Parts: sequence; C-alpha cells; structure tokens
Amino acid sequence: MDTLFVYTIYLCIAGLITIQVGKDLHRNGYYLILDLFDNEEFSKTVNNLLLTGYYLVNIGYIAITVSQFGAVETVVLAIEELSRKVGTIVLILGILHFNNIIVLHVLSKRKQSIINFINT
Amino acid sequence: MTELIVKTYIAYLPIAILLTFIVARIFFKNSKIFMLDIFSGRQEIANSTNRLFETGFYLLSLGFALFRMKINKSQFITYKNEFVEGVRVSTEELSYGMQELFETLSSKIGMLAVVLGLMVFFLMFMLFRGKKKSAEGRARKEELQRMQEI
Repeated sequence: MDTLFVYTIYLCIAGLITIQVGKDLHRNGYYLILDLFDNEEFSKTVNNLLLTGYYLVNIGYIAITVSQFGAVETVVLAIEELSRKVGTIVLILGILHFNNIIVLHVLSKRKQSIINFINT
Repeated sequence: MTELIVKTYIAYLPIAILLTFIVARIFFKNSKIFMLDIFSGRQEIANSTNRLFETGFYLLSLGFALFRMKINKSQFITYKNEFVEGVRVSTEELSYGMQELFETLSSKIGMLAVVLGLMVFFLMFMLFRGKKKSAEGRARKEELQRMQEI
C-alpha cells in the first residue's frame, strides 16, 4: 500500500480520537475542578490550560510516531502497523486519563482534610 | 492465505468494538446510582465523574483491543528443507485456513473478554470502596456537627 495513504489514515484516526476525547474530558472535567477550587472563573482557566496541554502532548506524540512506521507494503502489514500505533496512543491516553482522575481525587481529599482540620 | 488474515482482522474489529460498547453501557448505566451515593446526591459531579470513568474505560479497553490485534504469524509457518543437487533450499509455507482463522479469532476475543471482566471487577471494587469511604466521611461530619451543638 502507498505509504502516504497509510499516514493519512493514521493522522485522521489519531487526530479524530484525540479531539473527541479532549472535548469530552473538557466538558466533564469542569465539575471536578469546580468542586476542587470553588471558583468558576479560576476553574474555567485551569480547565482550558489542561486542555491545551493535553492537545500539545498528544499531537506531539502522534507527530513523533509518524516517522517510526514499519514496512507497510501489503494490506496485512498496513493493518497491523496501524492497529499497533493507534492502540498505543489510545492506551497511553487511557492511562494518563486515570492518572489525572487520581490526582484530582487526591487533591480534593487533601483539601477536605485541611477543611476538617480548620473546623476542629 | 493473506486474504484470510485480512478477513480475520475485519471480523475481529467490529466484534471487539461491539463487546466493549455493550459492556461499558451495561456497567455505566448501573454505576450512576453508586456515583450519586458517593457524591451524596450532587447530580452534576456524579454524572460527570461517571462519564469520565466511562471515557477511561473505553480508552483502556479499545486501546488494549487494538494493541493486541496483530496475529503472530510465525506459528502458522512451516519450514521445509530440501536438497536440490547437493544445495540446501529452505522454503517456508504459511498454512492459514478457516480452522486457524476461527482458532485465532476465538483466542483473541477470549483474551479481550477476560481483560474486560477483570477491569469491570476492578471498577466495582473501586465503587464499593468509594461508597464505604463517603459513608464514613458523612458519619464523621455528623459527629462534628453534634459536638459543635453541644
């Protein structure tokens, strides 16, 4: 298969997944951050900054992996290479996402313990 | 032979995606009630946390499904050594028929299903733990209030 064609498919799939997941996380993560900061303006800013960082990391990683494609002469090789590359990106996204949730959870717990300490 | 491998991939992808979507829909439809309990009835944050976990579940399971898609072809290759006029000529032959197609397909989908099941049990454990923790926190808060009233 044509190498450029495979690259185009790869960029389309990876870009689409990145943008869709980013939108979803941006919409739903707002309430978690709002729960942490109790300040609408500030949590909007933090949310936008997080989204920007997410896009930068992901698109940068996608751009780096384009140059690391193996041989894609036949259809079988192209499918295998595409699935491996897209799978790696999606797995990394999932791990980073759960990591983010855990960080937010730990921060909110710490805040709760500080509030409890002040109250007592 | 290679057409059958492509057919395996084409059969594997929709089954894997469908399996993930069905499991995720069943799980996250039922986890909403846990989330409401954990966040003590605050609808917005419970819904968005549920959605965040759902996204993470999709990412991890689809990522695993795609990552493990490649078929290890070396197990279907048989090598033959022949001597032609005193020179050894080795030929390799890929034997991949319908039987091998079904075997690889079932082993791949079984692996994916086992991983999905483990993930579901892990998430259930997290939900039960969160429920317990939030109940403890609520009890502590009530106790604090009672002490302040006294």
